[in-house]
Amino acid sequence: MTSQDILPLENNIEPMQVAEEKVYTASQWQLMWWRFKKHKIAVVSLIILILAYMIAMFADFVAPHNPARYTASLSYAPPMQVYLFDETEDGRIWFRPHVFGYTSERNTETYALDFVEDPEGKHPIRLFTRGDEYELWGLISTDIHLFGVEDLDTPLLLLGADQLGRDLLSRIIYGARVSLSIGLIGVVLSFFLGIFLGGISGYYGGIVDMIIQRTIEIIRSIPAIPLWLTLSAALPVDWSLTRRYFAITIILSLLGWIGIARVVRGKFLSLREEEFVLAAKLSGTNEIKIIFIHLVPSFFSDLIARLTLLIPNMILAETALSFLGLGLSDPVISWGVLLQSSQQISIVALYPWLMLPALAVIIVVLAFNFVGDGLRDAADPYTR
Amino acid sequence: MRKIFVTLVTLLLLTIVATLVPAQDASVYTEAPMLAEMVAAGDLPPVEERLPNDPVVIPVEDAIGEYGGELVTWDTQFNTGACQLQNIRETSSYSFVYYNPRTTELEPNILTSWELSDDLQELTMTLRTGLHWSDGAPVTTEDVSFWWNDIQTYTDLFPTIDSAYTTVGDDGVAVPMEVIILDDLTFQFAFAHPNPGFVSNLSQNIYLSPKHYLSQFHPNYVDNSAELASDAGFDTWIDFFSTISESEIAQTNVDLPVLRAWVLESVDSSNTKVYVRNPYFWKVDEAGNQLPYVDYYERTVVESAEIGFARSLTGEFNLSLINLTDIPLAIAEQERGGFRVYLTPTNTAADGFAFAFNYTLQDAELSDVFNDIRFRQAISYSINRDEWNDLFHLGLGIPRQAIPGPDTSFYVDGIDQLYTQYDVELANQLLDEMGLVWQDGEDYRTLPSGAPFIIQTPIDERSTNKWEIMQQYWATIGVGLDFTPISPQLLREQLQTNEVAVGSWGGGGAGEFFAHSISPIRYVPPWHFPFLAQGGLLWSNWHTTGGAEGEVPPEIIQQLFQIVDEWTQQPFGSEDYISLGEQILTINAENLWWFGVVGYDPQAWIIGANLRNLPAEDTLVPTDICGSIGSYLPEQIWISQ
Repeated sequence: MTSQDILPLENNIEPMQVAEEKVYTASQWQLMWWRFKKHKIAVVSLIILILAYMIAMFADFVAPHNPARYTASLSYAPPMQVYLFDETEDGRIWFRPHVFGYTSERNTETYALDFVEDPEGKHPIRLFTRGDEYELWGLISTDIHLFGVEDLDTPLLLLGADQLGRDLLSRIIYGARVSLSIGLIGVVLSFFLGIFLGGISGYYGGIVDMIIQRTIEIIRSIPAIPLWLTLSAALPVDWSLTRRYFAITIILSLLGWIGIARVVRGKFLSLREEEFVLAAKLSGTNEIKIIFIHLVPSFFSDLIARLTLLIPNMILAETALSFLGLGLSDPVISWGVLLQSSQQISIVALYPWLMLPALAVIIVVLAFNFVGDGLRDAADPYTR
Repeated sequence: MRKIFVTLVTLLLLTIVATLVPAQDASVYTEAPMLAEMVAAGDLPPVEERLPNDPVVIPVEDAIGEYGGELVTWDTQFNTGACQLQNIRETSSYSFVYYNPRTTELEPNILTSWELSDDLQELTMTLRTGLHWSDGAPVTTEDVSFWWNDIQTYTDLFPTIDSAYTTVGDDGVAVPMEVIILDDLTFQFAFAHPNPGFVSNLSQNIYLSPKHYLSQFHPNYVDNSAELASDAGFDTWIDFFSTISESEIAQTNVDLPVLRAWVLESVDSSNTKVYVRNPYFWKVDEAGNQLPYVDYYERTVVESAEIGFARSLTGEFNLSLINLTDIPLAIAEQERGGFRVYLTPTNTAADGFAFAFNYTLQDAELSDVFNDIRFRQAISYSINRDEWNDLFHLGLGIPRQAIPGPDTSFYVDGIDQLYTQYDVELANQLLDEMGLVWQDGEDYRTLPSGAPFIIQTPIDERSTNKWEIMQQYWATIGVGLDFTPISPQLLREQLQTNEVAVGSWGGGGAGEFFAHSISPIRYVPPWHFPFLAQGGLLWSNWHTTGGAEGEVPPEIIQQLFQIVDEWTQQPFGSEDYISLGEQILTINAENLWWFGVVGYDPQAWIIGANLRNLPAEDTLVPTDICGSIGSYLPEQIWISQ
């Protein structure tokens, strides 16, 4: 584009207000941000995602309890009711969230534990309380938790307890650590592999293109779940469960780049004939630079959308595979592992709160999709 | 007045005569309406001719029943667990002799008498007179001879003779028994060496096969056996014959004559099987009604146990076994589903969870610690068994060691409670005494070599949450546990290698009857079958190879081997059997090689609300004898309208 082309436009914007003029001087990233901000759901989703990852990073601090802390008398205890207001001794009502501890007794007819709130055991929920000790990132040893009750013998069960009387909320929070992070490396790997291989395939064409395309077709024909099964059987037995799963996600990502590669190739095929590529070539820019500086940014919006879909795919894959018993399993805490127990009809019928990890999965996956949607619109700020 | 008196006396006499006469009458036996119809149509001989001269009379649990109805249960596709109710194998009900779990005595069944000679080498047995196969053919010693000569010792079918039928002398050579036919009903098993334990097997097996049917396909009797096999679509005659002669859970041949209460009628593509009453079944109730009461028995194949349970809740099945932890839901659904939940005591030494340390582990430092009784006591004291019972067994089990319990005839009072108290302080004191120092600020104790005391072991992935709790118990005494959950198949493989530090598996098979008649697996190293060794596999190898392989065990173990060997040679219930049994229990309990946490949990059932004649709820249903409820004779179950 030349400056002559732009000039007539400048005449047109003269009557416009100053604020709108900013649009024409703003950088691409600024434009993207403005555009993104307009997508309200995407913004909310982004905040949710940032929060979720913060919670995952500071799981030990945010979770009220050590996820392994069990209490036999609280086996399958339902979520505790939180009372927001309390009455002081002189009868004034003030805001002081609190719960009542449970007393449990085995029902002589059904043999299940019956839980009753203990009116004597009032426990205010406080911020920055002392609880189970932990080492944050293996460095800082402390026992301060974001919130909790002071009496450690009465665990705070905001989302109820599992069979061993462990706090479900704490377990969901710890589960976020594994579930939100385990697929990331795999996603990043397949993302770059896809751009690179798709890029050279589309850019050079010919024999390179043929080889890469045929390879993609072969890989496409391998069914994922049997492959996953085989891999979990073939990996060294003495590897820990997490390491094993990690290895599988990486191997799968080595196969997962094909979707992106196809898109990138298609774009390259059409874009490589554009004049700006010719211009770059003529001015002696090397090919890697042409691919990553000139070509890739021109369809970045598509890639962003793909990436934001790949991450929830990995989260869903973890959940689904662990649920089926092919991925992670106890004692690793992840959302999929927590959901394994909801395969039991007794749990669905009597202890439905144990299905809550599914809600966490839904929220995070939806948030990723909305953010992806917002980003796709925003990534190409010049289109309307 | 006199007239009235005479009339009264006459009436009284008549009444007496009236009640006496039918007792001698041939029509004393009654049969199910569906069979009576067949008799009336001339398709079946009358019931008196079908029953043996002297049928087995069953004292029913509760009440004389009514005929009709259907028992419906479920099973999973690949379950071959022969000992489960779902398989209605009910071996105890039609085995050679009946083991009565109430009296712990053997009673006549297919055999009317069995006698072991004084030299303990000849077992003489007599078949019940007038017994018929389910197709009406008489049961004779021909069937015994066919079973032995044409099946068990026919090398195409059995290249080597099953060790159940051989005895081993001092020279270590296994000699097969001989089967001697004395007359139509009497025969003898002659062993080359004294074999008193064999009698117990009579309650688990039948040693005959329907010759009149199977000989039609056997090369010893027909020339075209290979042709028959290929016509039926089999590659080899061996496959063909094994398939058509299979009479247990895997039976698919509906024509095979059997001696069970129900005969296989149909098998569908999902392997769901329907059985119909055996018109020639040889048992009656006290009122002379031919058993079974129930017309049909159906075993539906479901996708998984969880689905089986879910469908049971709808009342679809009237007889199913469920997990103990599922009973709160089952009880809540009782009324809606039209069933009741039923709990029967069992004699499982340690339900689903027992373990032993590997006393012959190659890591000398660890195995030294494991072999110290103080370490084992400390581990036991660190376990809060009451809490465990609450967490995993709804508080319905009994906190105990994995030692045979009070239902054992040689039980020593309180011996299963040894070292079961929860006492972390005492445990720590014992480990301190051993010199395993626990430094301040450290998570675990230190081994003599200076390494932290952490035991690494694979575990069964199905019991991971139990091991998570166990890990926390051991942590309170400074013993680290680093476990890797693996599949049961993989664990099985690893347990055979002597490389696993903590061997764990379920804790069944400790009952005396199983121990004596099958294998004393829970009484000697490795405290299970060698292919599931819990600990001390090399000691066990030393013993089985006569000292050629393995590792020389300590004196106490050698002594234990000797006592158990001697015990298995004693006739069931004899004085020596009891006193040796007591010694076995005492040595095992005091040395605490094999650990249990909670045992004797009840078995939970879902039973149709109108099902009658099941054993009362407080009746012990042995879990280690094949047949489970079979030992309480399921042919007497009936459905009240």
